[in-house]
Amino acid sequence: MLMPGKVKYRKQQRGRMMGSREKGSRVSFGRYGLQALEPYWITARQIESARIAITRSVKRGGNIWIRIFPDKPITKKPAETRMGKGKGTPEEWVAVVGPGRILFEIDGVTRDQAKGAFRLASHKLPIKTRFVVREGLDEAE
Amino acid sequence: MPDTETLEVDLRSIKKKKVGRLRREGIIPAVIYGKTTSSTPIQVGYKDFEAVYKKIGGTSILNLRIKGEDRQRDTLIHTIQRHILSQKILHIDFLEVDVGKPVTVEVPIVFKGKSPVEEAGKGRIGQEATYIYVKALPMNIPSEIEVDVSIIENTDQVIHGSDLKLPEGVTLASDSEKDTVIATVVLPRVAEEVEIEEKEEEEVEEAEEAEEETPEE
Repeated sequence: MLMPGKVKYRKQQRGRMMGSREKGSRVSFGRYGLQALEPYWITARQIESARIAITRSVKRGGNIWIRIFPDKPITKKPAETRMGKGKGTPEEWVAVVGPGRILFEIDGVTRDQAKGAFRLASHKLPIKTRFVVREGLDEAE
Repeated sequence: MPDTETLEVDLRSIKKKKVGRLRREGIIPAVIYGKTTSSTPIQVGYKDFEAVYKKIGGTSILNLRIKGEDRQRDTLIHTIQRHILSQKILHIDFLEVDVGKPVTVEVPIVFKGKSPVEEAGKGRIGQEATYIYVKALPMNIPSEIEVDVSIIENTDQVIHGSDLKLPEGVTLASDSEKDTVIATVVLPRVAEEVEIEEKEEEEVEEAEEAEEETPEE
């Protein structure tokens, strides 16, 4: 699973996820992309699960890019613990995703294959997504 | 030579953050500028612009007539800003050009033909660049540049910007464009890699199943 090798601070505050994201909203490496339409914290497990779904769908051939990285630690208090006594321990890593963000990219496969792979991947994700084609190549098809 | 179209636009008095009002009324805020002309805010009807843009594309000359002005301005569509989700046009930059002087523009690259490498199943052709900067007179700007990928016969062959066959009167914008990689052969992923990956996944699944089967003490 994806996670940072080393971090400066073990725990983070939650933050806000307001508005759409201009950053990372264009397909930049591959021909096809999977775009998020909602804001959410995507966990490292969900990213890995979606990646496996794509890899198995396209089998050999094709290149895959993961455009998000879970760099935010999420803490949790143990079960049946009274409130207080400080913040919980880091449990998982998430990627903060906003509407518009490209999650995965793929190249070297047909449009139908890419669409099928992303459909399977989208079932592993907790948000609504959309299939997009790289700018400038959408008209050529 | 691409067609030219004429588009009627208005001068814009609503500026900065208030332009959202225009967009709600179906009007696109835009700006026109050039080497010799100062920046002028204008506005154009969404449907009018879309119809013209579909016809001429992004690299043809567009004659803009500002209401109240006698002359027509020869312009190129320099930038179109779109909403990242709805893909609706938010703003347009028109670049006023002198028809007699060459300009530098971005032109899309389109692949044609099939490489013998692809046909033999040794790899696939990867498109590394989707646009390239060219220099040409505004009337000579091609709508796209075709690249014949059938010339790639070996897996280590690469098509650079310098290998492109450009139409007459069109040159690459700079020397650095000559070194731009346009097409390469992407080799298929090694079968072992995939097998190892699958094995690992199977092992994980088996371990999970074994955990579930183990009775709780």
